[in-house]
Amino acid sequence: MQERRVQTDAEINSDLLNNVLKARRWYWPAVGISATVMFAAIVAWACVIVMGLGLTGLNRPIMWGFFVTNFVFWIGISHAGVMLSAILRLSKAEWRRPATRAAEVLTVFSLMVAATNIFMHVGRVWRLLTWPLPYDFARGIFPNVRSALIWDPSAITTYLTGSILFVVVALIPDLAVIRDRTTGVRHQIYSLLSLGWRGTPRQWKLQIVAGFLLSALLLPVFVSVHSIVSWDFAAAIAVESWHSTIFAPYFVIGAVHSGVSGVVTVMIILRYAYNWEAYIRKEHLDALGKLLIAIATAWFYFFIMEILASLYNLEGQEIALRELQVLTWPFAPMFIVFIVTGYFLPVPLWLFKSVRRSPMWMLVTTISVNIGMWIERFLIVVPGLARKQPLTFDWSSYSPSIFEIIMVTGTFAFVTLMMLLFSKVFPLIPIFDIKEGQILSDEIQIGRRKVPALKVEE
Amino acid sequence: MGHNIHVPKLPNADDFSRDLLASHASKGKLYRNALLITGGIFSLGILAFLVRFFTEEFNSDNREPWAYYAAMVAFLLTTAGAAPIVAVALRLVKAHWRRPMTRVAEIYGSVGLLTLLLFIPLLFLIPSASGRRTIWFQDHDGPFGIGTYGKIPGAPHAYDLLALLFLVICGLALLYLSALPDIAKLRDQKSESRVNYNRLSLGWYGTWKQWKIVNLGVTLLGVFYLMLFIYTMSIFSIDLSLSLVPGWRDAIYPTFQTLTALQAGLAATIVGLYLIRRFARLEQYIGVEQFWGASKILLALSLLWFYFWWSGFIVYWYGRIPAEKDILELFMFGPYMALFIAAFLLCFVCPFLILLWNSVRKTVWGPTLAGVSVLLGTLVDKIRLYVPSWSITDSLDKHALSSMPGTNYPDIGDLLMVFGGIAGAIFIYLLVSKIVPIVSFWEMKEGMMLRTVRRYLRREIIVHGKPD
Amino acid sequence: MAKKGYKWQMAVDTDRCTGCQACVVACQVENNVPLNSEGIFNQKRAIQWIRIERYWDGIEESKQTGDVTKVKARFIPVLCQHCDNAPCEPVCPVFATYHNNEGMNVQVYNRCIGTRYCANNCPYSVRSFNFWEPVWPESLRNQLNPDVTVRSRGIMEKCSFCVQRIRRVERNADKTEREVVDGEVQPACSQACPTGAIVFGNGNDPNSHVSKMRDDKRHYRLLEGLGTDPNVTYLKRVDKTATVVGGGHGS
Repeated sequence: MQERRVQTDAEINSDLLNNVLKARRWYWPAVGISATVMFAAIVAWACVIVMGLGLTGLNRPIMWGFFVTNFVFWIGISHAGVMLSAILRLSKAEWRRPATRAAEVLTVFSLMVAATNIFMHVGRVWRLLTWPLPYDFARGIFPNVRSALIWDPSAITTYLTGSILFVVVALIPDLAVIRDRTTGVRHQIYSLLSLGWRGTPRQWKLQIVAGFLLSALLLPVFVSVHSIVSWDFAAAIAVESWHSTIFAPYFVIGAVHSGVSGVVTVMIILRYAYNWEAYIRKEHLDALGKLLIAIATAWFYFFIMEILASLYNLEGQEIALRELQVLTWPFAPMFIVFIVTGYFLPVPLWLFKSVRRSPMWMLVTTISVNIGMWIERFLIVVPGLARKQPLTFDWSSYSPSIFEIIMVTGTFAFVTLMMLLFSKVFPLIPIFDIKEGQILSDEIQIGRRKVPALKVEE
Repeated sequence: MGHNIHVPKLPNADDFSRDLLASHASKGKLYRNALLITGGIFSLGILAFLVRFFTEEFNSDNREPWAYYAAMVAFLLTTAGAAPIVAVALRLVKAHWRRPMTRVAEIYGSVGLLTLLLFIPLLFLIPSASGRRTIWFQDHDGPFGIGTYGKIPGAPHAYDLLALLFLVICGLALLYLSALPDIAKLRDQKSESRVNYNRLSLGWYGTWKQWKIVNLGVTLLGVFYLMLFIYTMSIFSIDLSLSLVPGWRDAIYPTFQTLTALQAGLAATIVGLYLIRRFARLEQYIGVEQFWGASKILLALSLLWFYFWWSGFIVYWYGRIPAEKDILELFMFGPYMALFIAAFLLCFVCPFLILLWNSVRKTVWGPTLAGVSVLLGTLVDKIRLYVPSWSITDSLDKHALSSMPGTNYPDIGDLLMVFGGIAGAIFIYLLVSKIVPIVSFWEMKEGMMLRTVRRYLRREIIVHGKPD
Repeated sequence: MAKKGYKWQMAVDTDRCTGCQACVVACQVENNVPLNSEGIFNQKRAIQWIRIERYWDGIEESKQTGDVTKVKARFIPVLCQHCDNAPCEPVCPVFATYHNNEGMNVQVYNRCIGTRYCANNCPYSVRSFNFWEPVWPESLRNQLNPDVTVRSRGIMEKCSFCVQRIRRVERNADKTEREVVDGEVQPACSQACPTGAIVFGNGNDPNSHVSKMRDDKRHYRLLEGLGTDPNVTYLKRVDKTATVVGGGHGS
C-alpha cells in the first residue's frame, strides 16, 4: 500500500486503454505467431480425425494420455478466475484490483480450451457434438447421468456461463469509458456493448450487487467443477491408484495452485508488455506470493496424504505403481522435475520478500509451478493406467506421438491468441476497480507517523 | 456501499482498560458456581475412569470399553486444539476485526494439557503397528521391502505422543507470548490476585525490541502451531480410528478430520466469545462485527464439511467394492445411522440454514446458535467415528470386515467419562481465564489507534490504518 | 423372442488349457476382429476379444540356480467377464454398453463415441479400441461373418459371448417353442478349444455343464475382491510347489 501513486482519472484511462485504442508494436507479430501454432494444431487434429487415434501414442490399457492430462491442466488454470476474483472480492482484499479481469478472462479461455481437449481425445468427434447434451437426439436415449463424463459437461458449461457473465458484468463500466473515447464504427459497437451505462448511483449499486452475487454463486461451482473432473478418475475402480477418496479436494487445491500461478505469470507479462508498472505493483506480487505459499503448502499436504493412503495397503500393484512413477525411467526424472518445480523450488524462494517483490523471479517461479503441475497431472493419469491391477500381463507403457505434442502446444497457443485478441478490444485491468481503490485509500496520523489506511464501507 | 450501517461511537482505550480489569478482577458467584459444577462433573468423570480401569482389562486387545473415552479425547483435541488456529489465521490475513477474539481462541491452547493427560491411557490401548495396515509400514516384507530397511521404532505410540506434546507446548508458548504485554499490565495494576505477575511478566517494559520479539514470536509460533496441529490431527485420526478398522483405506479421512477440527475450533471460539461478551459485560468492545466476520468463515467451513464428507462418500458408493460398501454401512447406514444423521444435520444442515441469511449473520445470536450446533454435531460425529472403530473385534490383519458389529450403546460410565472430560476442559479454561485477561488488551489498543472516523462526501465513514 | 430366463455363463478350466491360442483365432474369424500385425502387437494395440495370458513361474529361481527345468508357464484365457456388477457400464456417457436381461454385458457399436472410459474402468483390460480403421485385404473379405457388424475407427469392442450364435440358437428354439438345450449354443472359442477347457451354457439351469463346473471345488473368479461379480468362472488346482504367491485384493 505504501507504493500508491495518486493519479488522475485521465491518466488511468489513457494508461489502461493504451492497447485498445492503438496497437503496440509487438502486438500483431505476437498474434501471428500464436495463430500459426494454433493452425498447425488444427491441421494435426484434422489428421487425427480422418485417420484415427492411432496417430497418438495410446494403447491398451493406457487409453488416456496427453489429451486428458491437458484437459485436467486447463480446468486447473481456469480456477484462477474464481479464486482471485470471487474470493478476494468477497473478502474485500485491496490487492486484487489489477488482477481480477485478467484472471476472469484467463478462466473463460481455459475452459474453452479444456472442452476442446475433450473433443480431441474422443474416438468419434462427430457423434460427441450432440449425444452428451440432455436431449434424446438418437434412438430416443438420453445421456447416462450415472457417468462422470456426463457430470463433466454440466459442470463445465455452468462454470463457463458463470464466468462469462462475471466478465461481462464487470466490463460494462469500462466499455462505457471506451465508448466515450472513440468515434465512428468503434463508438457504435462500444455503445451497444456498454448497454447504456451512465454511471448513476443506482447503476453502480446494481453492478456491485451483481458482482457480489456472482462471486458467491460461482464459489460452489468452482469447487464442484474440478471435483467432478477428479471423479472421472476417482470413481473408476479398475485403476487402483485413481480410486482414492482424496482426489476431489486434492485436484481443487492443485487447480488453485496452478491457476493462481498462471494469473501471476499473465500479470507479469502484461506489466512488461503494456508498461503497467504503476498498476501491477510489487506490493501486489508480494501479496500474491504470500497467498501462493499458503496454497502450495496446502497442496503439498494433500499430495503427501494421497501417496500415504495409496501405499497404506501395501498391495502389490500399488507398490509397483509407485515404483514406476518414482523410480523408473521415464517417469522418475519427470517425478523429480515435478516435485522440484511444483513445490521445492518456488516455495522456499517465495519465503523471501525480495523474491516476492521481484517480477522476474515471480515469473520464473510461477512458470515453474505450472510446468510441475502439468507433469503432475500426467503422472496421475498415465502411470496409474500402466499399472491398473495385479494382472501383470496387461502392464504397459506410453510415449506421446508428435501429433499429441503439437495439439497440446496448440492449446497453449489458442489461449495466448485469445488473450491477445481480448486485450485489443477490452482493457485487461478493470479501470473502475483501480479508480475505486484510489477513492478508498486514505491516511491516518499516529504520533509522528503517517499510516496508509482504507475507508471501510461497513 | 448500501449497507446502511450506522457508525458507532468508537470505544477508547481508557474505558476499555477499566472495564477489562474490572471483569478480570471480579470473581462473582457465577464464576464460583461454574468452577464448582465443572469441577464436580470432571471428578465424576475421573471416578468413572478409575472404576473402569480396575474392573476391565486394560490392554490393547480389549478396546471396546474405552470407545467413548477415545471419542471424548478426540473431541477435545478437535475443538480445543483447533481453536488457537482461529487467532493464528486471522492474524496472518490481518483481518481488522480479529482483535477481541484472539485471546479467547488462544486460551483454548491451555486445555491441551488436559488433552495430553487424557491421551496417555490411550497409548496403552492402541495395538502395535506390526502385522496390520498403518502409515508406519512396520513389519512388511512386501515387494517394496520396507520391512527390510528396519522398523520405524515405537510407532505409532511414540510419534502420536510426541506430536501431541509438541502441539501442547507450542500452544502454551503461543498463549504466554501473546499474553505477555497484558501480564505486565496486570503486574503494574498491583491487584490482589494470588498470581505472581512479577515473575510471570519476565521483565516486560514494552521496549521497541520487546515488541518486535512478541510480534515475530506470535507469528512464528502461530504458523508452527497450525502446521503441528494439521500433522497431529492427521496422524491421531489415522492411528486411533482409521487403522483400527480392517479394510478401511480412506485418503481423505485425515484431511476431513482436520477440516472438521477447524470448523469446531471456530465454533468453540464463537461460543466462547458470546459467553465472555455476556458474562464479563464487554458488550461495548465485542460487537456484531466480530460475529459477522466469523460467521462467514463458519459458513464456508460448514459447506466444506459437506464437501469433504461427500468426496469420501461418492467414491465408495459409486465403486461398489464390497470392502468399501461395508465401511459405508458401518459408519453411515448401519448400526450408527442415527448418529450419522444427527452429525450431518448438526454439522452441516443447521449451520448452513442459519448462516445463509446475511441478516442472521449480522447478529450476535445467529453465529452463536450455529456454533452451538456445530459443537454438538462434532461431539456426535466423533462418537460416530471412534466408537465403531474401537468396537471392532476382528483381527486387524484382515482385508475387510468379517461381519457388521452391533451398535455400542453408552452406559453410565461412558457418559460420565465423556461429560467429565468436557467439563474438565471448561474447568481449565475458567482457571486460565483468571490468569490472563480474556480479551487481548494490547491488540485492542493497537486497533483503537489505527481506527478513526472521517467525513466523506455526506457520510461518516470508518477508516482503518493498514501499516503493512 | 420370448425371454426364457437364461443366464449365459462360462467356465474355463485352466488346468486343461495348453495355451494353443485356437480360441483366439476362432474368435477373430467369427467376430470380424481386425487383423493385428506384429507392429500393432508391439504398440500394444492388438485387438483380441480373448487373449491367452501367460505367467511364468520359477523364473527368478532359475536365474539364480541356472536350472530351467523347474520353470512353468501358466495360461489364463482372459475374455470379457460379463460382470453382473460391471464397472464399465455406469461410466459410458452414451449408454453404448449395458447389461441385458440374459446376464451379458453388450456393446452397442453405433452408439459408441470412443471416450474409452469403459476400457479404463475394466479391471481385466478386456476392452479393445479401434485406433485405426480396420482394413481387410481383398482376399479375406469373403471370409467376414455376415452376422457380425464390421466396426469403424473410434469404437470400443469386446467379447460378446458370440451373441449372434446365441440369438440364432434361441430363434431356432423359439420356432418349435422349446428351451435351448445345454451345449446347443457354443461361442467360437469353446467350439474351437481342443481340450474342452472352455465351457459355455445357461447358469440358471442347475444341470448344465457350466453350472456344475462353477460349483467345482477348484473354482475361483478373477479379482474377486473388487466385487464385479463376473459370469466367467476359472478352475485351477492350487499348485503347492508354486514359488509365486498371490497378493492383491483379499477376499
